[in-house]
Amino acid sequence: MKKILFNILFACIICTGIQHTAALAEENTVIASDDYFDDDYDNEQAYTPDADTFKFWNKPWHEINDVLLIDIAKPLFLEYSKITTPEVRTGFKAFRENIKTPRRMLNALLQGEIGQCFVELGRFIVNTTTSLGFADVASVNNKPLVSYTPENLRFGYTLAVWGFGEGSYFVYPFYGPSTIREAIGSSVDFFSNAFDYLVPWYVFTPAEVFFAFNEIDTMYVPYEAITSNALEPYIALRNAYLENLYSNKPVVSKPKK
Amino acid sequence: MLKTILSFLCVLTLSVSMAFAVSVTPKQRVEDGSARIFNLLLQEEFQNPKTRPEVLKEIEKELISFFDFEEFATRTVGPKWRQFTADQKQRFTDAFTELLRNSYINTLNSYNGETLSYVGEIRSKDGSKVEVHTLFKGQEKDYPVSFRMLVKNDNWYVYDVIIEGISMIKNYREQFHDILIKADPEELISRVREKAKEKKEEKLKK
Repeated sequence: MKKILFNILFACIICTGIQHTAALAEENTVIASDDYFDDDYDNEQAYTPDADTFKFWNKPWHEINDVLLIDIAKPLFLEYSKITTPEVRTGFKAFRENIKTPRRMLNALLQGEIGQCFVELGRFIVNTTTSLGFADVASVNNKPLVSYTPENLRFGYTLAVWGFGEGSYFVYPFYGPSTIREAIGSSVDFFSNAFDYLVPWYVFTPAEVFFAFNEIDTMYVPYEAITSNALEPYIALRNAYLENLYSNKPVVSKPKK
Repeated sequence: MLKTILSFLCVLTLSVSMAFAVSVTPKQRVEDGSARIFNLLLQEEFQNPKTRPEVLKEIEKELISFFDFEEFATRTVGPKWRQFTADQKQRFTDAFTELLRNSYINTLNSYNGETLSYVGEIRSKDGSKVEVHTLFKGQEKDYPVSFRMLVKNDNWYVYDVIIEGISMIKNYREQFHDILIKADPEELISRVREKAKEKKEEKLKK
């Protein structure tokens, strides 16, 4: 009797063991580091609220930006979208992206991403020759050899690659959430748009404003998604911005020992 | 001797099976759960305004069996949760569940056949927690969506949703932390209730 019981138990153990290893051997499963699940607050010490040294500056500007975006830009854009087709708006958007190629190439070089730099050059040639940049022809049937990550080709990201921390949260007047590092980055980016130097300021300044307005929906849609369900919209936006920025930080390989 | 071994094995089996006796994997749970909800959304009864409330009830049932709202509530409050009385805990959980319900039920209307596909997962060392990574295929763009899950009552339950790197729990937690510095639990509960009511009225207006 004991023997049977023993065998059954033994079989049980083996079965659970097999089930366990089978689950672990499943594709794409990674075992987390010790602190990976800490920030979901089993661990009190692991919780630190987001740093906000410049709250005295940020909060008023958040309120002003909110009015500009939701009460002024959004209604204007809704009118604008009545008199333009999505194709027209996408065209302007593509044109804007295309003329920013030099800036992205520069940042690709500074980040040591030679592949990205050539992808940018290739895209620029294709898009400019086929449509003067008004269509993103290079992305049609796109199966790139090098994965294309234009959102990282900005000076804020370059600084991150060089090892700069993001710094405190910072609300850029008329522009929105940023951090000290990203604010420095966007300022440098602003001055490294090579094509801006080909035309006088009274041409490129309204042009920049128009291009930004042309795709303002890409700002207010996520903005409303984040703030409309929030009790404290300012905090919700700050956290969402910082988390999103953090989840897209450069993977810097650790120096070998 | 044999008795000792036996009881030892007994304990071992029990403890092993307690941790791993969940019959479904987190992957199956996410795929099954999302498929059920998507199926309900695609039903003709959902498109028809007359039969819609019934389908919504079904969907809510599915959501309740998939998400752990108690865990949501506890984790959004964080360490201060211990200062809440049992009654406050209950009222807060109810109010917060109501807020989430009213906030996200509206977004279901814009469902248009999007799918969720499994990408991979990160598992804690003891296997008690899992973060399942998926890709939500939207109309114009794909969004990375992760579900943090834990084992309860022999099944996996979602206790946090992370969209494009933004954790829902963490986001509410930052807000509640800010409120609780100045206010007491009662004020937090009434503010959550107010917001839930506001979202409900918005829903009716649409």
